[in-house]
Amino acid sequence: MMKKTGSFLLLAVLVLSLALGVGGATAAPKAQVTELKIFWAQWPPADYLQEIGNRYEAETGIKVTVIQEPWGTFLDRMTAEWAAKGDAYDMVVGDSQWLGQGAEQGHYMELTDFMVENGIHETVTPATLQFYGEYPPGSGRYWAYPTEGDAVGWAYRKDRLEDPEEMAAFEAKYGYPLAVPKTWMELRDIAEFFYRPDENVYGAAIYTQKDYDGMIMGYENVMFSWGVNWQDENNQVLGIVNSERAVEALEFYKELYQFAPPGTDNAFFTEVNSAFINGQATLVMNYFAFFPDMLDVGKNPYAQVTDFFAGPAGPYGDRYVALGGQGLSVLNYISDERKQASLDFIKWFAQEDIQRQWAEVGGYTCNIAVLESEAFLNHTPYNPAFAESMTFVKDFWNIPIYNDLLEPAQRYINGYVVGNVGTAKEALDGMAVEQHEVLVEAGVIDG
Amino acid sequence: MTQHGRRQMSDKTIAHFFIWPTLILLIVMNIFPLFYSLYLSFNDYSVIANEPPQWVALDNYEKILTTERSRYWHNFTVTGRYAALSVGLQIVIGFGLAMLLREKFRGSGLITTLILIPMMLSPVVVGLFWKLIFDPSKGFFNYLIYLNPRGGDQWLSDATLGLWAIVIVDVWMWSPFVMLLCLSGLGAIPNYLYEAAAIDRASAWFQFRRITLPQVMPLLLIAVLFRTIEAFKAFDLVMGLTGGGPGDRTETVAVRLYSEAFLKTRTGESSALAYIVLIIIISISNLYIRALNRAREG
Amino acid sequence: MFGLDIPLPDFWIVYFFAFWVLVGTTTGSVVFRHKGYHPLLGIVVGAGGGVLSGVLFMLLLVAFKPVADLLDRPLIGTLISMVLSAAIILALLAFARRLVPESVRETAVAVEAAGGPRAPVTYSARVDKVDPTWQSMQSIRASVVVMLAALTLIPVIWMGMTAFKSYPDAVASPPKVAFDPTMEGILTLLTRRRQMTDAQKAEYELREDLNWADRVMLKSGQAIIGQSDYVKRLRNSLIIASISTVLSVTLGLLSAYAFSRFRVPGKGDLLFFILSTRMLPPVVVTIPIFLMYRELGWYDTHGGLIALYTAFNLSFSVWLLKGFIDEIPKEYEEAALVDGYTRLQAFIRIVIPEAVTGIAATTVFCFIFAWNEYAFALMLTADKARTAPPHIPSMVGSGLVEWAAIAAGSLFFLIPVVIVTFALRKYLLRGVTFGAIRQG
Repeated sequence: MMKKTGSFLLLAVLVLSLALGVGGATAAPKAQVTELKIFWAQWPPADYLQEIGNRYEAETGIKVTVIQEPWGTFLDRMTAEWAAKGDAYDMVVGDSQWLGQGAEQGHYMELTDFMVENGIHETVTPATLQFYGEYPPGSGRYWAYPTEGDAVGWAYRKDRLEDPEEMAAFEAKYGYPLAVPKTWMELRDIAEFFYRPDENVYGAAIYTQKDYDGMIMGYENVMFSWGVNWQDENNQVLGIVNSERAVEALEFYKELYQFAPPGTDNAFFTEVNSAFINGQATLVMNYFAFFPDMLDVGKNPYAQVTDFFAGPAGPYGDRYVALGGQGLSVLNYISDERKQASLDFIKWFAQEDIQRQWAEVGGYTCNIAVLESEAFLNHTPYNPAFAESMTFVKDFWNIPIYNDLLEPAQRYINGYVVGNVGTAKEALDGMAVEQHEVLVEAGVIDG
Repeated sequence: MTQHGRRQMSDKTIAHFFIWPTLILLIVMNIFPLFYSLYLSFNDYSVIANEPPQWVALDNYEKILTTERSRYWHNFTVTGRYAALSVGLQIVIGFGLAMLLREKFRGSGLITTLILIPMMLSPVVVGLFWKLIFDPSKGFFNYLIYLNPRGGDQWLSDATLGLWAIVIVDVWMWSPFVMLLCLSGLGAIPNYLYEAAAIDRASAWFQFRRITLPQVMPLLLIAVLFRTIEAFKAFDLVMGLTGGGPGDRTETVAVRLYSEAFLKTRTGESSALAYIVLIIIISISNLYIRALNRAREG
Repeated sequence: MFGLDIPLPDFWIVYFFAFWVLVGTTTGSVVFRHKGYHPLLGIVVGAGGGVLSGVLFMLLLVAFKPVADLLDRPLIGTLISMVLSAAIILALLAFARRLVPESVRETAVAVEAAGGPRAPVTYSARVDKVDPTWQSMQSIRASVVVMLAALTLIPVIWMGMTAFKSYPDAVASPPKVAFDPTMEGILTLLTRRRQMTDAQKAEYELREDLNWADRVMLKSGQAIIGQSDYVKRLRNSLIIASISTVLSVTLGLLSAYAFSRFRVPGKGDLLFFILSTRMLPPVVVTIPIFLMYRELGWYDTHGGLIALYTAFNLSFSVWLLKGFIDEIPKEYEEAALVDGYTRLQAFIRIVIPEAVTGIAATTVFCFIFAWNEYAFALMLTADKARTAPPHIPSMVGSGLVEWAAIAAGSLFFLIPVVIVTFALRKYLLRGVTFGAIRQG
């Protein structure tokens, strides 16, 4: 078809090699570090970090810039940057799931020695260190400084749950008093009780989003609380993620979804918040970091009657919530001077005093002393629930191929919960088989 | 071709001078990515894994066409259904609009521009807003089509309606484009054909079937070609509306490509998939172009 | 407007009512003018007839309601009722027209014969177009188009309304048509703000130097601290889209001319190759291009995006323009060459003016593409050269999509492209012949 293919190819190669040659020659190291660039998703905590960064500049003269990228494209941009081995950013506040990639594929600089020498690893809570900083799990090797703790919590409408008439009606129907739910069963009852389409009032708004990880971040709260994990100690998934309890948990999540406001069929943090703000949802699950707007009277007409609680317990006594949050890592592709400057910043940032300021401006510190302080607990109405939640968090896989494991999970569970595709058993079986294949192919487990 | 004669030399220089800038730009911007992707499609490679590509010859293609065939086949059927539905509706609506707008009236230029507005919007914004519009409790779509808003259809998470939702938005956005093509086709029909038909007292239907349709056919086919190619590339809209959900019910080839290339960073496999898509698009284009030539000749 | 609290049909009743009135007014004036009466009288009578038809339509719709309810899907029932009602009204109108026969046509001929007042027919000399039946059909057609355009624009109008909604109004359930307009969205779009604590807010409220914008944002406890990036993004979009459009049309014109007029070795293959560069899903070429841009230092530069968009549009513009140039008779240039013009002069003085329609149409399409391109702009820019499309959807607050700001941003963003299209609309309609494909 194309006679000129050969010469085109030649030309292309020529152009490319020329380009590569030019590119290599221009990369000159900078001697003096005057600016540190931190890459993060676009949301208020990044603004808070910028504020802390401004204080660093005032103290040391080194400018700190937090570069924010919308959540929807945060991962894409990071992927591109890693692929290019780029040095556009010095540090990244990366998702906990990225640790495996960062560590194994060499994108992150190892911080073990730095953290241990300076005693930083002892200043943050063990759970956050484990989930935001350590890889492989249990190895004692650290790749990130736990920066923004986060977990899934709940907001609820106080006016509805504390309304005397509602309370009486609820007790008459269910045989126990209406209060903040302590178990998932109670939460279900409340959702069912307030499910009144005729009044445009609904139960709980929960995560269901199809792309990336929304659906799983919702479902795993139930799954963990039913005593199910994503893997056993040998990394096996068959019979684990599709165990009878898992089926029960998934069926429960779907049942809960039946009481959700219409329009939360492809919902993540923004959609569930809006379902609460327009008065439909009585309960809403969300990461704590997305709660500040719920208290803003300009945004939420029900701000005065909104309160918060930590995730409830499952029927077999387990109580876990899904982990969010990020750790601060140094990227491996920057010059040694910039690496050193980045470490200096982290060392400064990890001080208890700075961490206290970090919490004051709105950041979710992982520092033990600050977390336990009265000032922190009283800072916002949801901080107590947050501090409580951080003691029972669990997370999805964080090995480099976590996305290959996440994708089938999202697909099957979203299909079952919102799309009514098959049964819970079929969905989980399908997911388990695909995850098993992925793990075998990647050599994590033997076939 | 022109007979060049004595100006052969200078024409040749001009031809070079006129063509090379285009070719150089296309070579730099298109050929390199094209061949690089082709090369990667024969490799086991992840762009972020920090490992060099490993030559696996046709393994990626084999995987797509054999072991993982059923899911890929599903992606292609979804794309095919989506393309057929949306292109079909766009042709009907676009052609209908063009017939209505064919004769100018006062303000028809303004109206035409207004009808073209959906086409000028950024697909990302369109996806974002239509998601709000389809929302059964916050959007107006269910209200407009007379469905009970409370407990009415959740378009985006319904196994069958999900695809229809995407089709509706696509039709809304791109029917104007088809309309534009048809309008220019209609404008090019020589008037004497109709005058002759009017003298013969031919019925309106006869005029439409024997004059209008055959004359517009080539442009309709071009519209079909362009929209079909775009349907295979449809990504922004689907991602913004359903994300491929529920499950994988609306997962088109382009969404699958994105998930393989960016989320899973299986660069090799996704390049192979892209090449399969490219081959399909090129074959479809050739078929269309052949049909087009036949339509022009007959 | 229609209140969405009430179950739906009232929107459609308003809509069809408007339609019948429009049909009545436009056809009335045509018919009466031909009858020799003042067209204004026709408008009045037509409007009356339209109102009557609208009322009739409503009554029929109500009469068909039980039928609609019988079906499981109310939509289908409503549709059937609407079609039936419309058919009955059209039948009645046709019948009514028969009551005033012949005379209409005679008057028209008489007026014409007398050289009477009649708008000059500029568009066609066809006899049937002077016929009042044809003209009233035309006005019905025009009314249908206007109503369809209104329907198409509902989402855009909705966007316009959302731009002035406060956050709770934007996500209200049921959706709000009547609301208190606020400038919050537009200010969110144009400014950077800081959330204040209650104490800071109290202090801030007392300040003297607050302007209206400050006061609007104060309601949600925010203090304006500067200008947002939006204007910068818009400027980037303008620079990149216009330069790349000019470049791709210019280069495309040169190549199209060369392909059309000269013997180029391997022409067919080259042309098909140029077209096929547009067929590869962009998702896949993003990574190679990204890597290349990092190496070349084109990442996050205006030049980088301009080069990319130019290349992407070139395939399109070469094909489109070649079709136009093919249709310009070669004899024109040859005559000019005989007159002593050089090839280049002939190209500039003869070919370009003849191809202006095609150039305009190509410009519109290239501009729309470059203006709205998202995926590459997202991956290849960070700040300096970032355009508006990846910026607009990113205005997500703390867990809330800033609908008003996004709507306002999208609308501002729409204006330039509408202006370009409107300015070139005349060429656009004649321009899109795509004659080129036949050689493929």
